[in-house]
Amino acid sequence: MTLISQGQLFQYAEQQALQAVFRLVQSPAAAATYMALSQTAVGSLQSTETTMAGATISEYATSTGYARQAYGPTSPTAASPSQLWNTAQITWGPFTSAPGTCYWGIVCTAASGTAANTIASFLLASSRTPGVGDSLQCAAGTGAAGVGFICQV
Amino acid sequence: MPAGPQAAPPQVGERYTYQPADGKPHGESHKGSPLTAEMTELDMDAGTEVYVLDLDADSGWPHLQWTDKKGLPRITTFDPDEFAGDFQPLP
Repeated sequence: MTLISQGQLFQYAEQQALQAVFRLVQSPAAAATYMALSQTAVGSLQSTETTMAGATISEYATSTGYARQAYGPTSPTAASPSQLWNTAQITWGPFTSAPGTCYWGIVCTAASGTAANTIASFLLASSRTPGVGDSLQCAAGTGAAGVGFICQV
Repeated sequence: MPAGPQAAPPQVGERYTYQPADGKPHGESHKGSPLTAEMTELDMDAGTEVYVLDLDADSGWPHLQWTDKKGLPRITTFDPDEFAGDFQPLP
């Protein structure tokens, strides 16, 4: 079973993490990462998706005014398990047509394009269905559960 | 009938000002009626300065980077035809 849950790394990131910590390869160079929004139903997102082209990704369409936003994570906490989260509020929109209902945030490696690699998924506390003219906002993380997009390893 | 003058396409790395003909914020203009106070606060007002970050890898539509009224960075995808009519280049 490869269904994904909240704050979980995708296969691509799991492999990169293991390669890095076991000194098999150099870690990826420092670079920005981006938060996408996904319409995939809860229980259907597959952790084996390695790019945003995956059949179960179902990202919002850019024709709605949507664009991926910079994730801007904190440094990992000096704790076990270690966590990081978004440092600032993240806002999508305003939407120029109704983009549908989103259930997931997905961090990936590029600002656009289906070739971007998937890093981690975050299940929204509740689904959101923005209307025309609306924007969609996520609070900055604080480390507290349920605030911001927290990834834990 | 001859085609009208073709507006310049968005240039990556250039700055523009949002100057819609109706003078309304971007989201409100598309909705066709006023937004809630919360959504108005997050809308892109006329006079907003934007930076063309890049073009969408799939659709080719421009990604505009701008700062909202809360001082937070935003990226919004724009219809290139709408862009041609609503944005003026900054010197």
